[in-house]
Amino acid sequence: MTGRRPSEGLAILLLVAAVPLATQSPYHLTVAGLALIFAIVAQGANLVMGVAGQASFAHSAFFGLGAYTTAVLSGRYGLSLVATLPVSLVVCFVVGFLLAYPALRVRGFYLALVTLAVSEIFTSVISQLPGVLGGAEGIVDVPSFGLGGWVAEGRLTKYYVIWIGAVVASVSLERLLASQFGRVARGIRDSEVGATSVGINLTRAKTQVFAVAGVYMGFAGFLYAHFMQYVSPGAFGLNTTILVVSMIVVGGMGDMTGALVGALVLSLLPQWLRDYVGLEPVFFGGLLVLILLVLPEGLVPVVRRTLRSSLGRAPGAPGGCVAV
Amino acid sequence: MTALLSVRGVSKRFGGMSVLTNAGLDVHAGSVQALIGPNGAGKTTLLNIVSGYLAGDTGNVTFRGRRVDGWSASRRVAAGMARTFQLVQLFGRMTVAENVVCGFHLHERHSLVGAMLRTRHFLAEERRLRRAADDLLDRLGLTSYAETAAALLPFGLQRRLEVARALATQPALLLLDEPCAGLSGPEVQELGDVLRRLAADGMGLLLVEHHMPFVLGLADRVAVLDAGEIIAEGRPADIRTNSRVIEAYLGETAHAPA
Repeated sequence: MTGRRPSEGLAILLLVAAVPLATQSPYHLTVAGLALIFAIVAQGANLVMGVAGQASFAHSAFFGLGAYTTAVLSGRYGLSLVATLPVSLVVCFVVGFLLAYPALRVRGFYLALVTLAVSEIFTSVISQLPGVLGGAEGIVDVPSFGLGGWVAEGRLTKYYVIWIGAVVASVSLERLLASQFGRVARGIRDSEVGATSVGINLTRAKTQVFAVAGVYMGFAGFLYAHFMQYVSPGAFGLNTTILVVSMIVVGGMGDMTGALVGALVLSLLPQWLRDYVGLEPVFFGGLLVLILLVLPEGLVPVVRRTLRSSLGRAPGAPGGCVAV
Repeated sequence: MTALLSVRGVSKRFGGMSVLTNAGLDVHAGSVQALIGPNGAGKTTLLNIVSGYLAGDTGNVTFRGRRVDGWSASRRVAAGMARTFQLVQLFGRMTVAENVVCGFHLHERHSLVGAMLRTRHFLAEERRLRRAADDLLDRLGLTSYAETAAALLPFGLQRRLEVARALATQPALLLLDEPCAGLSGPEVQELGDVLRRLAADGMGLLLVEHHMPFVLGLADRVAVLDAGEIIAEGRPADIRTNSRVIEAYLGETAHAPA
């Protein structure tokens, strides 16, 4: 329980670190970098949806809020990441905190609707307000990561900055989930009545979950803005939320390794479909339906259980029990 | 001796139906107070009002000398009042051990940053809680299930796990809603031993239960609720022979209960 077992997320990320050994084309590194950024978004979203069981659909808004905060501070006001990072995280923390309030009053479909509405408001604001937010064109002149005199030039350097960000996010989240924070989140998912019976304050628990998840998704937005060096409303719409939820479902709802794997799979697979423009949605929809029918738990819990039973570990412990 | 818990004049109506009328009882530290009565008598409603899951229309609940009416359920837990549920409310997807560690929620003192950095304080606390959880699992005979998902436990063990989780909150008062339902004969006996030891160590217990041999063997005092009213209160021996109780609940032969 104190997490002495090796980190699955870290092991997968170490594999991903080797991507530049196979290809250093700027295009491929951009795709791989975006895959890692989406892995962070999916893990943050999975904290709210999968771990804490809150039907929130505002993921793209948090992602976009982090990205836009960074883009405005850095692209418009020339501030370095010493400012963009903490400010983006704090803004997303505060908005997450506020968004938890509907979750205290409504749940299920109703919470989904409220969070979708918040998400739509965010998209309207960033696309309709020209000036500092750039309106429909967005903000196109965001500097790369820079600290002191150093600036991350070139795709390879930027890729590794993203990679380090993904490792920090993944490992810290894994550790949080193995602590009281994770137990409280899973507790309110499994039984709110049971949670109050051990003294868990639901208000506090939900606001904490939403705020912390907001920080992770905002962190991904911060990375996105400096990595892509432009932000536009199209990247943070409902499509993005649906993509992130698909990643979580494919990998395994409630499973952090699952969110990571789901994000990598759904970011990289479409690359093989590039020659079949127009077929992507068919493929995506097909994959989602297939997963839901054949492996409703998602890829990772099933693979993990198969590996464990073939390695003869954890005899008699039915798998899927510890969805971390 | 002042009572650990004292309930006075509690009434509750659901719509036009009166569920509790002027109900009251006391629970003393180190003793077992049973609450019996036919189905629908209002026992669980009274338990819900005591534990803060439901507000009474009238009356008051005093716990450890403080009026707790209006307190949230979780605040009452913090004050030292724990309970189990008729329909178990476990964390089904968490392991048995994690359920109990979660029960120590109010006694955890680490920060989010401490957990992320795995500080020495955090690790020491996790180890300490895990040891304490293992002790409770051992007391309730659940050690061999520690790493099983709670939802996969047989029903009787789920009930015991709920008692273990409630004890992890370190309560002064434990409210039990039909802890014997679904338990086998030997399991009932083991649970009785555990509860007797808790009372001997100074805990107050309020027990709602239908299993009459269990109740009469364990309780120091028995209150009988019928149609929302306390119709009798006293020592088990007196309750067993009380004519109103026999008529309302125990039936002709008090020794062969429902």
